[in-house]
Amino acid sequence: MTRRDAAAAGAVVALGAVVLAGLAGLPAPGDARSAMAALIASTAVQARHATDVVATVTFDYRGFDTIGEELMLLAASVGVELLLRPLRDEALKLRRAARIVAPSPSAATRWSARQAGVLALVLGVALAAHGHVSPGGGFQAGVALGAATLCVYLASHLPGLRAVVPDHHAAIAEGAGAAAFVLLGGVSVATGGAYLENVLPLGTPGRLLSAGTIPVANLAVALAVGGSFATVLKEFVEQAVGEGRGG
Amino acid sequence: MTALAYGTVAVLLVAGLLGVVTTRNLIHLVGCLAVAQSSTYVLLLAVGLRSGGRAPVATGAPPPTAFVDPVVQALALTDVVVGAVVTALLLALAIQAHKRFRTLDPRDMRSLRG
Repeated sequence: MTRRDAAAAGAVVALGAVVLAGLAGLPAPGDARSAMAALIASTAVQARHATDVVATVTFDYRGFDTIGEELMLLAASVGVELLLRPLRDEALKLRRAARIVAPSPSAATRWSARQAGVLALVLGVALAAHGHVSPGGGFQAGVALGAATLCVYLASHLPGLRAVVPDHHAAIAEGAGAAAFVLLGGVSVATGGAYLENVLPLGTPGRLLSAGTIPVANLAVALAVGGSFATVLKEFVEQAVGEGRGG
Repeated sequence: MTALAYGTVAVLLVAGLLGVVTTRNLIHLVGCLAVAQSSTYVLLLAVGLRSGGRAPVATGAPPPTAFVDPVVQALALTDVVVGAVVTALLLALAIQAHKRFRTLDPRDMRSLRG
């Protein structure tokens, strides 16, 4: 460790002490008495008929923020694609790598990756469909769906991944999901309501078809996030193969 | 409980930042940043905790009075998304830096020197 490292480490530890002193001024964990939390807890289920109160917060009370969160994810995925786009010399290398017959993964890897992939797929669909009645939702579902595409890569290497997720399909899913989410908010504006206000029947809380637009938003977000993760993971995998490693 | 929760926050933050300032490897740096950021998840959940509180999912039976704070849980969701996004972008930048300089050690990247 150099002297510069030691000085930097000293500064970080000092910062930690300041943060700890600041945290000591907060109410003790377990004593949360936020008026907003109490209000939401007592009204959210009656208002939106979604038994998962976090989903109501995410897609109703702060629905507009969630649109921003989704667009941020979209922007980041576009950024990764731009940063990792194949340059002229790399495009050649990638084409050459595509022709190389990669060593097949071992039987154990193939079997485990297939089981995990099916589980991730089912989990993703279940989380998206039940996000308004139980913990979960579009973002979590999208991550599970993205993980499923990575399992395809583990089970069958790059050709398998390209067959299951052809070029641009993940990007189209990502864009379509994000657009559907943004337009869903616009539907209520067109009918005279506020942005992302509910426009569908609310149904009985706890049922699959309930909570109005929240399950629709969950499905759109699952598509967008799944597409983002699949796009980004595929970019990284192609980099690894193009570099002659991981391949 | 206070010491455990807030102590964990401070330890995660300091450990992550210590890694960030002392590491000589950009990939390692991204991992350390993720550790530092995970302290904010613990902080958000600790701030919204209520002793005896249930998860904010209505089950129908008792009236939903003793929920933990659902607002900070929704914020933690945003926090996780931001963490994933930052990690992906930084890793992409690390790949580009490695292509340009053939190293992941920031000391050997001449045009990055101050």
